[in-house]
Amino acid sequence: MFTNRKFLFYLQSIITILAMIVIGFILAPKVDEQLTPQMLKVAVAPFTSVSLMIFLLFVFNKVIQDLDDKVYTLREIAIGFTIMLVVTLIVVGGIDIVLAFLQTLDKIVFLSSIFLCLIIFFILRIANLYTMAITTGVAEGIIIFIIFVY
Amino acid sequence: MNKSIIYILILIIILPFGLFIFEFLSQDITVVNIIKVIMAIFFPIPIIIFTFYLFLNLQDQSTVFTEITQETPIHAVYFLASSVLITLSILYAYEYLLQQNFAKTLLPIMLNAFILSIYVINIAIIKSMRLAGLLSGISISASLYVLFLS
Repeated sequence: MFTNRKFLFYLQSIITILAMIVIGFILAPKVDEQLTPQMLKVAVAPFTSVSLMIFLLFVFNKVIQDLDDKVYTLREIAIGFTIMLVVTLIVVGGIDIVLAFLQTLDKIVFLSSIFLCLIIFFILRIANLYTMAITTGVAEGIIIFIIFVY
Repeated sequence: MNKSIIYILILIIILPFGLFIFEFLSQDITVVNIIKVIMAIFFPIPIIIFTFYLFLNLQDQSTVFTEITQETPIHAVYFLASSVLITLSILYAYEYLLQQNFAKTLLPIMLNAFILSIYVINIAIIKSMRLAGLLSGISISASLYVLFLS
């Protein structure tokens, strides 16, 4: 089970999506019971990034999948770990800065849907060592943000 | 190493989680704190999956692990004793310098979860006795500190 690179990649992306759902529930402010135009905005907000993702899927025709059972060299392992650390730092610092400007619910939904579409694009088109590192960094950054900063 | 002994060791390492969670939640039981505790337990899982992804099939043709197979249990005992002393002194220094109660923060839960994840990697990939002694020494000293000395 854990000796299959494809399974590990899909498991990692599922964990990242779950972490994103948790942070969405935490960061969402209190929603009124009455229907307001603000709530209609929330329903429309994810479609901007979904259209962006469909455009990217249209442009990138070929599928890159490097998920074989080969042994990585030391240089590739070092590059993967550094990419993971850099993405983690960017996510931890970036969420804190961005949330100072965007405080309403629809903008938070828009931001999280951009990450979600990025991960779906990685699953469908580019499954690689480097995209795996980016996915891990996003998950780690969100979890560290919940533990320490929030 | 005998595999059943390792599983019993992991069970014993899981037990301090209850102590640390009780210590943290004894100040204030809210939904946010419970979410933080759950996130602190699941914090090392993306890292573990990433390392499994990176070091797949490494033990087949590696030269790094030839030295590890020649070690004796005495080395592991030395590592355990020295790690207990070193981590106890580090925890005393932490509490003296930062003036912060170690037991009331999320740090022991995160430390224990991280040690457990490295244990799993040790069983699957590295198979070193010295690393097992070092990790269990850190876990033992953290739980001793929270129980008696803080």
